[in-house]
Amino acid sequence: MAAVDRDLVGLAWRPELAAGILMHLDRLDVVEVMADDWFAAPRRRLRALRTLAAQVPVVFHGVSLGAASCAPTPRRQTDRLARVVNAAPGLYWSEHLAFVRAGGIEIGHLAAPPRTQATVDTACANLERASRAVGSRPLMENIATLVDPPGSRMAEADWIAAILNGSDCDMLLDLHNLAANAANFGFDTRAFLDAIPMSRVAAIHLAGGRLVRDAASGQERLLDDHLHDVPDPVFDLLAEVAGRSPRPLTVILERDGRYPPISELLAQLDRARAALRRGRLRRQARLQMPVAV
Amino acid sequence: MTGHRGDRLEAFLAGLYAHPGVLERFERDPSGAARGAGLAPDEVESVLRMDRAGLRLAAASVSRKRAGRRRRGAWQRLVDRLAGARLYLPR
Repeated sequence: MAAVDRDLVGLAWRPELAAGILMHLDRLDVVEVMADDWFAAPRRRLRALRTLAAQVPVVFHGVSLGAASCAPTPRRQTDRLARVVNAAPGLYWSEHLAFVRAGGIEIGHLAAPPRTQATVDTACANLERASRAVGSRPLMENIATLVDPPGSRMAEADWIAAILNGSDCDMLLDLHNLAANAANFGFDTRAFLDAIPMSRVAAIHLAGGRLVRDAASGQERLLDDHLHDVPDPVFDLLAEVAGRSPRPLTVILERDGRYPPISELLAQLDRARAALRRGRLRRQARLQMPVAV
Repeated sequence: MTGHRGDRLEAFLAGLYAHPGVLERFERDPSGAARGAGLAPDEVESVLRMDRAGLRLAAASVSRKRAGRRRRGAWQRLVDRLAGARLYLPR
């Protein structure tokens, strides 16, 4: 995996966005490829990834590893990932701190496991196996959940920090997932950022969501659906993270449907660049400030 | 009932999210459903304290994702082929 020496801003590749992405490669520093979409691709089609990677830096993102589980990750998952991630030169690959299958059930979605020392240990073991199979360590992403996982004994940020430390993996920090969990479970996003090792955050996801209402109780929750524009508080969080982060960040905008014109997505990338600049300037000013004694 | 305690809890949660029938049974008889899944007493307690509104919304979200993925299959193959054709062009 290649070293990144400056902040990069880009878009997640989706077939529906392909034409817009290819026509605006000059506006993108990086493109994120969904690894799972290529698992079944024949060798000829995998060559297209190399062609893409020759035109723009790419990163790979998986959704079905299910590393944060009590159960070992199936060998076929790590083999598929290795095949795709190594099909073209990428800056890094990433996955989720989630389980996606259990008891013979494929959930088809990311689910938060109980946050315990046991799931820290098994996640680290799964990530070690996956890293060996692929040949490099993944960045691991915090997920959004509508349910505080039962049986949890650790706060989310502490659980994530323990896995990062135990697995030697860096973090992909999804800021809308963070904002959604903070809204749904009533914690402070800044306290979360205080608790994770900021020097391990290498990449950022941006997305949007919406409030959903439970008909039976009338209660509302913030759903991370990737179908809406990035809200202002998430750009503010990006500036906050850029102000704290000591290393270059790769920022990816994810959109999974209700696609707006590509110009609107590019405008959101411009807003991300502006937020990064704001944060970096704040950090620079803070570092240059004389320390009071 | 097979599996370790953590495995059983994950399997129970997977059923709640992915199988509407499991969620309906749990809503009717939470304690019976949890004990029937072989959960340890402390796991049963934690499951009974779960936020039901969040759980119903999570299950609905999973259901939409699964349906969306089925619909997306054919459409994606077509668009992917077109996008792929562009990628194969010599630079």
